[in-house]
Amino acid sequence: MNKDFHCYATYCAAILAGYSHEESAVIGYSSQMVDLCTRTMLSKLHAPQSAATTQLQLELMDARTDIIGLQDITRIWASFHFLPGDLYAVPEQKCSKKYLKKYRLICKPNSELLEKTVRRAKGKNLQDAGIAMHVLADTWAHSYFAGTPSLVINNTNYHFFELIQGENGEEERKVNFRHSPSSPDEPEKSAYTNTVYYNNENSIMSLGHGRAGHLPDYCFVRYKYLPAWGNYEEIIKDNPSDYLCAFTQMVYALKYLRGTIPEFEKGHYDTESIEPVKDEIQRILHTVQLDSTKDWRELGKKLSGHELEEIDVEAIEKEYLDADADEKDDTFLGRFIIGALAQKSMVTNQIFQSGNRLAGYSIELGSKGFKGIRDFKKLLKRREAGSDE
Amino acid sequence: MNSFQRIISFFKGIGLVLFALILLEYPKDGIIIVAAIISLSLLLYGFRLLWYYTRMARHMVGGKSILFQSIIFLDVAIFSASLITESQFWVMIYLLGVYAFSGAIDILRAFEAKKNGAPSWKMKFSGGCIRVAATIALFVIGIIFRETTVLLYGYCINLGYAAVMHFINAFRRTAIVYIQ
Amino acid sequence: MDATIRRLQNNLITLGTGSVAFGLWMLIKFSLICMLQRSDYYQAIEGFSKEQYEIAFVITVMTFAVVFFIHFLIIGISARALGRGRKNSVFYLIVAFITVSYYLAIIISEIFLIISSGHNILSQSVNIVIDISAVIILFEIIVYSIRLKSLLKN
Repeated sequence: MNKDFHCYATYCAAILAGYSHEESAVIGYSSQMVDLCTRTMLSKLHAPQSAATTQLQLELMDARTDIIGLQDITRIWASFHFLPGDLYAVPEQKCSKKYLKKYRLICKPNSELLEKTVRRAKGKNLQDAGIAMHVLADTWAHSYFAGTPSLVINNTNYHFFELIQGENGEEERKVNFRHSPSSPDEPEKSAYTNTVYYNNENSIMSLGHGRAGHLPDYCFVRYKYLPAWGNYEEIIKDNPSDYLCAFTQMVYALKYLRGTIPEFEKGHYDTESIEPVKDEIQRILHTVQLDSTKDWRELGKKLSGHELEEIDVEAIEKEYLDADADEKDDTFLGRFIIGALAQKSMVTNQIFQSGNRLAGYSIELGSKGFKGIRDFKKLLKRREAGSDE
Repeated sequence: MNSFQRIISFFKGIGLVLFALILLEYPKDGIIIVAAIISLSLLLYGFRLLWYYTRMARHMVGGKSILFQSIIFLDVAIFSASLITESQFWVMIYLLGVYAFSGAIDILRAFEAKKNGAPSWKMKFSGGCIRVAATIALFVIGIIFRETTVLLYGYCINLGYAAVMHFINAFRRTAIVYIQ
Repeated sequence: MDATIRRLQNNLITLGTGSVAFGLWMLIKFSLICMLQRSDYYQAIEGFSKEQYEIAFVITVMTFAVVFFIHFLIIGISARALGRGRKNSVFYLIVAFITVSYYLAIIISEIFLIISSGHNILSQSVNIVIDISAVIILFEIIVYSIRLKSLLKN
């Protein structure tokens, strides 16, 4: 998903869940921050680089694709953008262990990991809620792709059609993919940019939904294609419907995090709260435009009476830089970093527990004590301070 | 690039320099060794593709293309191995062809890097152009004068140039790390 | 059933492309054999000089190479066309049958050659493996084409 949904739609969902404008703004900004917090930014601020929640294109181009590099990439993308749907899934056909491990990282909504993600954010900072909402929203948009470089899971082929509502009913229009990042996508011609096909299992070009371009991130698109893992079964992705599910699930999750409802369970959606603005949301989701920021902002203003300003990353960075060493964790970015470390730690641990080493190794603090990446010591300190459950 | 990648790049450069020196010192045996290594690497690549197909790609939509690629690479490898002792002149031409091809790939990758905004595209592009141009020039000399010695010197210069590029990459400052 | 049809179509496109690539490689390989290794195949025949033998060798080999290439090209392009949903005749299937028969004969003769001469066992064995792969590709094209046509008819 793009900034329009992660920041502004999340803000609207938070308002509908009962949060104030200021709280909703923090949640929205934190959700957006997941797409901005790179190693480059963190190293500039001398912040823990393990808290990176995304990678720049340049970082990816220089990334190693040996086992260590792949684990690093998988930790980031599987934890924040492609939450695995079922870590114990078994494909229909017999397959090798290597294939099975990658198959099990396929992202799907309403997973047990999603429940753990949302429950982990309960009683924590608003930044944790924002991170959880980003992860939740992306499980809908990025379904059927895996957050690890894999040709056999993430590849697509010529069988890729956009479903368009024409005068004579639904029409299929072949998607024209090209490999030109500088050219904007042209939805009216079904011309979109995607990554180049590389005949290498661990190529960065086969990370996530690169081979499908930005189609999963456009709320108006309906399309069908053959996923590489799907045994020639067609998948139909109805983004307007999926995005609506994501929105209503976010409202439900945020009500749980706020304490309005006692429990969060997968497969539940708060359709009642959105009823007054449902038509407006449907209109936004069905409008053919690459960026719906303006529409979501207007909806947010209508709901809260306040205008949500554009996220000021420089101000956030400045706050972090200017804070004293022992006060950094109380800044916006400081809290976000702790939330990101906790999310990454939880997902990596769950993947590791399932017998999958693709996200690296995870050590139980209770039994083995602290070992490994120094950045995660913050979580240990937080637990000792009594913040963790 | 991180430290590990830089070390690998440096040692690749050293390896290429040693290779060039061996070729210059023992031209007849050197060509055979180089041709054998290229055949072996094609063979290993073919087997790697075949192994990849059996373990992973057979479950993938369109994965059969990997199988065909492996068969073709294996056949190319076996055929090039049969050429090793036959005609060293043609082996040199073949090696130069591979080098020109890798130069062309560098040019294509430079265009892609430019589209993605990476500043390293200029170096890649100039490296690729020099490689292609030099290979074509030597190819022409080899055909007209049928001089394997000149071809060999040209190939060694190419190897030396590649080694220098590896050394430069090993010590080059990466823009990402040093942004302030 | 849709998934099966898609699988067959996709496989035919891949097999067709593989067939064309294979034919092209055969053409290149035989050309290189004629250029570089023709003297290896020289056998003294009474009344013929070495040059005459080599000319005859090149003509024979290149004729076979071009014929095989055209066979693979016809089969490959037709298989791709069927995979893309375009109607075509069964002519290419007949060509495929003929090519499979040629290859089977070649494989049998290569096996006899290994048993009788005992020279170059490794490279001859690899050649047999490559030829068997060609037979499998063509056989799969035939089988998938027939299956796809019957499924589409239904």
